[in-house]
Amino acid sequence: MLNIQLKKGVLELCVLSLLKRNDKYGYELVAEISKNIEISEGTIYPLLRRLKNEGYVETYLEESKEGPPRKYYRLTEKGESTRKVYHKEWVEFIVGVNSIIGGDEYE
Amino acid sequence: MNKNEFLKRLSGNLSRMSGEERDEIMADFAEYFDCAVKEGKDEETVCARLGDPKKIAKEYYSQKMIEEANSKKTFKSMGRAVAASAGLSLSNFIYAVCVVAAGYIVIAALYIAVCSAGLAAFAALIGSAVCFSAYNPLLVLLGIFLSAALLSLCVIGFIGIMKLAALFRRGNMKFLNMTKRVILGGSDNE
Repeated sequence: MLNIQLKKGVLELCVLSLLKRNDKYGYELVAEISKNIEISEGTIYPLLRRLKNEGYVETYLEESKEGPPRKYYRLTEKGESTRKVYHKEWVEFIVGVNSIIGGDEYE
Repeated sequence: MNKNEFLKRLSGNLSRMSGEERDEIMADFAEYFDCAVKEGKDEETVCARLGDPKKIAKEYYSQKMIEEANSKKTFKSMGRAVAASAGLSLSNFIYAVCVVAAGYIVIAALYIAVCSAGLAAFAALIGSAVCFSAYNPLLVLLGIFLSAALLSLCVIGFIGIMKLAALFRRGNMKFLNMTKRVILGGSDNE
């Protein structure tokens, strides 16, 4: 399995990118991520708390049709500019790594 | 493990967070369980997918310590942040302890050296002054001059060490943040 720290860093970019599309509640976010990436789902919540404390996302409560209100996460302007930087860095990183390890095996 | 057991374990391991923070975290996980159960998942599966509540609690705690260290930048909160973030992985732990300990030892050694030199100079200054009446005044004046010079050098050295220590603390914060987010943006926003 890939280094856990590496995954954690990428997870931050994933959360910010998902929130760029539309506001989501916790379960939705986690489900969307774990559909694509193998993770311990519980680790997303500490990450969400940090993103909130750093001002990248903000939260609000919204009524749901079934049951109690849900906590939604929304990307802030600061979050969006950070997402852009991370995205750029990620692409550069991937290109760099691929040119070292070679992509032939999976083509 | 079912929902109640999971929440109980999580809450039990969050004792070092404030009551407000803990309530919020518990509410988040309770909401998660509710959503998952509504989708027809059983609690056991949800628990397995969430992972170890102790590890989740540790994650929250190490994050909190880093935030505190970032805002306060004291030696005490630094140490706690190192310990908390090191708790996440053994290799980080060994590395963090070596780097930080080595830095502290060097700073402590410099500190002791300058302080004792300062004390010695101060004692010599007093000694020279006391001897003033009994011995050759010219030699004693030279003594006073030399020890005063040494004393002022020590004061300058002391200020330098304080600056060095502050620099080292800032460096440590960078290092800690780096281990937290290895590739993405570690140094950008600090």
